[in-house]
Amino acid sequence: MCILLLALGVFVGIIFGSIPGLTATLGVTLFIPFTYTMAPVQGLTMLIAVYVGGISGGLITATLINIPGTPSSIYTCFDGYPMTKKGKPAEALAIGVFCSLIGGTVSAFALMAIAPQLAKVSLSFGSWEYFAVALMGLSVVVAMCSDSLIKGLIGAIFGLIIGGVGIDSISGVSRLTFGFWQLQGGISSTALMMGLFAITEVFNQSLELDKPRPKIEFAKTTLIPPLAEMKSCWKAIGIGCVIGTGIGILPGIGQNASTLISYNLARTVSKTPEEFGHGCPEGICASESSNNATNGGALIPLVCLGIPGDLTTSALIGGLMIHGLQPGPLLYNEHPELVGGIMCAYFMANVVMYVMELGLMKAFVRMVNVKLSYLFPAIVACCVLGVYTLNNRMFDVWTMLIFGFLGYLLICLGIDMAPVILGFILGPLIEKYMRMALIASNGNWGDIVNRPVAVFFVVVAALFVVVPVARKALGVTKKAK
Amino acid sequence: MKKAMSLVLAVLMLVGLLSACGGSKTPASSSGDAAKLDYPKKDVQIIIPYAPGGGSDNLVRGTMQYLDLGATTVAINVEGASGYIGALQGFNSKNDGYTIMTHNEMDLISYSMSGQAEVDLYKDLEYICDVVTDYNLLCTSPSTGWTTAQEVIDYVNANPGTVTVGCTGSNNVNYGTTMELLKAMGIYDKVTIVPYDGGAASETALQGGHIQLEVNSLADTSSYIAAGTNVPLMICNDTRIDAYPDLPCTVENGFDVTYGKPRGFFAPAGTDEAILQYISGKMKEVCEKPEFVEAMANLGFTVAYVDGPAAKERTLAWAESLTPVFQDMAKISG
Repeated sequence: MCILLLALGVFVGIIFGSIPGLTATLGVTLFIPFTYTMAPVQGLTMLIAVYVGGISGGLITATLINIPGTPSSIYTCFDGYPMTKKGKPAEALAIGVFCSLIGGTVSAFALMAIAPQLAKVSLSFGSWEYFAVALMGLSVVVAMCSDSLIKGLIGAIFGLIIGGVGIDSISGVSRLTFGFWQLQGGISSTALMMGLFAITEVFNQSLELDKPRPKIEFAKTTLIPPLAEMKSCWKAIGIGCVIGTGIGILPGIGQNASTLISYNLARTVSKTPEEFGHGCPEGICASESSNNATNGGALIPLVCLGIPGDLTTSALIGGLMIHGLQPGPLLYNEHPELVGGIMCAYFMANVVMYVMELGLMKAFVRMVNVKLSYLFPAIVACCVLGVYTLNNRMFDVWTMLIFGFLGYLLICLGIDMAPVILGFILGPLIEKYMRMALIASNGNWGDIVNRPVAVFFVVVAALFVVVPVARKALGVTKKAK
Repeated sequence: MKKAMSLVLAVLMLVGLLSACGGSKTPASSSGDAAKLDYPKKDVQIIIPYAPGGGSDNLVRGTMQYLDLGATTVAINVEGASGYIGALQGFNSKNDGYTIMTHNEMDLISYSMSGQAEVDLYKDLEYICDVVTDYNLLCTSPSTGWTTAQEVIDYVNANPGTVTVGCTGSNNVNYGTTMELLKAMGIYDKVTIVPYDGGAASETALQGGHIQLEVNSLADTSSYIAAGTNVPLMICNDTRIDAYPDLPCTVENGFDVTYGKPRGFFAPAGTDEAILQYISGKMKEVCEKPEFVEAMANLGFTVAYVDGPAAKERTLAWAESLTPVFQDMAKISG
């Protein structure tokens, strides 16, 4: 029974994940009512399966048509789609799916083996540490935009500004809401990302609709991941797994931040950073292993402390409580059968996800050669539907469309989307935690030196900024001689 | 040609969707026919202004299991800005009785008094009824060794400036309650208050030792109290509560801070009085079911049905007494 539910859940998750606009969280929320009548273990198995399938499923459209099915797969686009264009859609998918499996499995083992210890680590993180981690994430913007620092910074600042929209939770002041009460909660991140990535991409590719599109020829799909292509990827996968699990255990940071930090870190340590963004398997590996590792990481504070690691796990908590189970520190000891069930379901869901995605791959791969004039209207319709469903209001749909136009404008100006997203996601985190840390220390910046972990991350952040700049400066002087 | 075709197709689909969705956005208009109650004839939407998995979400989904309005109820999460976005969406919905929402009075008061809202939702919304209440507690972690409020006061007086107190949000009734309680205890000037963006975040900080005290809700702390990793010191109420007979209340300790946290259901202004009473009656039936009482107790809520007019009267009185508290808070945040 559980296996059936698991398979059904993963399948539904993949569908939700792979359709741009419909997210994993939406899938879980919609399925909570179906679990009312099930036993707790069955219900949770189903919800976890939807969650795992949903996060992984986003890679499919990201790879094949450059539109992330779910926001956490944004960074998969950057390398997955160029690989598809080179005629390797099946390989790109196989790599992505395989890395999803590895990321999921590694975090599943972390969940099973050292969950209580990791939960303690997550508790030891206070405002300064969160601030420092987010700052580190933002600092990679310099390394990321090595081609054109100015354009990168423009993008990042644009991201920071749109991240600042909404009511400031500490002083209660409305910022940049232009009189729209709907904006007081900030710009909906799903609407923004679907706008910038899906709608913009549709605009962009629509320009070439009347040009004959070269049919992408590809080799027979294989079920074995192309290990030969992945020789150089182990470092990226390792980074993805560690960062993904690590970010997962920190409540409130989430998949989007974890993939962008992993991707940029993998790029920084890579031997061939210049290939990132042009169809480099390492990029797919870092992105996909980390977003799936974040799933397992986020389950750790959930089972040990009753604290949701991200939005989707908070929906899972709702699923627990509806069955009269109080998530909290007691759950781990008093309901070992349930905790075991969650761990088992999570592990199995990853395996089922892998098998199912490989099985479906043949069908998916055909998508690359579907006429865009059929594909795009369908995608736009799904985005509208998905974004509308978020809050049941048209406002978010308009937001998405407006950002679709803005995104297109950015592309015309030659500004990358990646720094925009970086600023949008990390800016508010940095601000919030910095201010809370300052309130707690009565405005004393020096307090941070009492937090060695925070200092460590700040130093790493500083290195990310200084090293690329210094390298460039040195390179320039060398050339001058 | 193809380009044109696909463009037309895309536009058509968009327009179709827009118009299909547009229906629910028309502003509230007064519905006249109150002659006889022909309700409900279609699904009833319940807006939850908070994220899935939160207290309000669990309350509504728990209620829906036992509620029989005679039509399907559909829960919709509209989150953002501490429940304000959902509240306004509920307020701006059609007042035909087919959109209602859950909310809590203290947050509704906060929106107005902090200057965030242009409409006074706590005055203008129709009150259906309150179904449960939650309490504020002063808590500490076992590592501090404090077991009574007096020990806290003695320690803080001996070591001013060393204790940090967590609370949920700023510029709201939670912060006000925290401030008032600390003032009543005479230690407000000797501690630092840190506003977290949710009860769970505050609890996490307490568990991690980043704060030594917190004023948090029972719903957010009960599982930690049961596990012994959270030590409750006082409950903000004028009497002790049944679930924790050994826990002193603020009033018996001589601190007159008793703001509770009732939660209930509301409807857009101008909703038919008969419909409000109909839903209220059905909710009352739910509140009398022992299974529901137990399910709510699991969430940390105490079932306490209060009909709409009484709930509104109570809220208006609270709002009046909170006015000076918000003026004090405005001074701090400048």
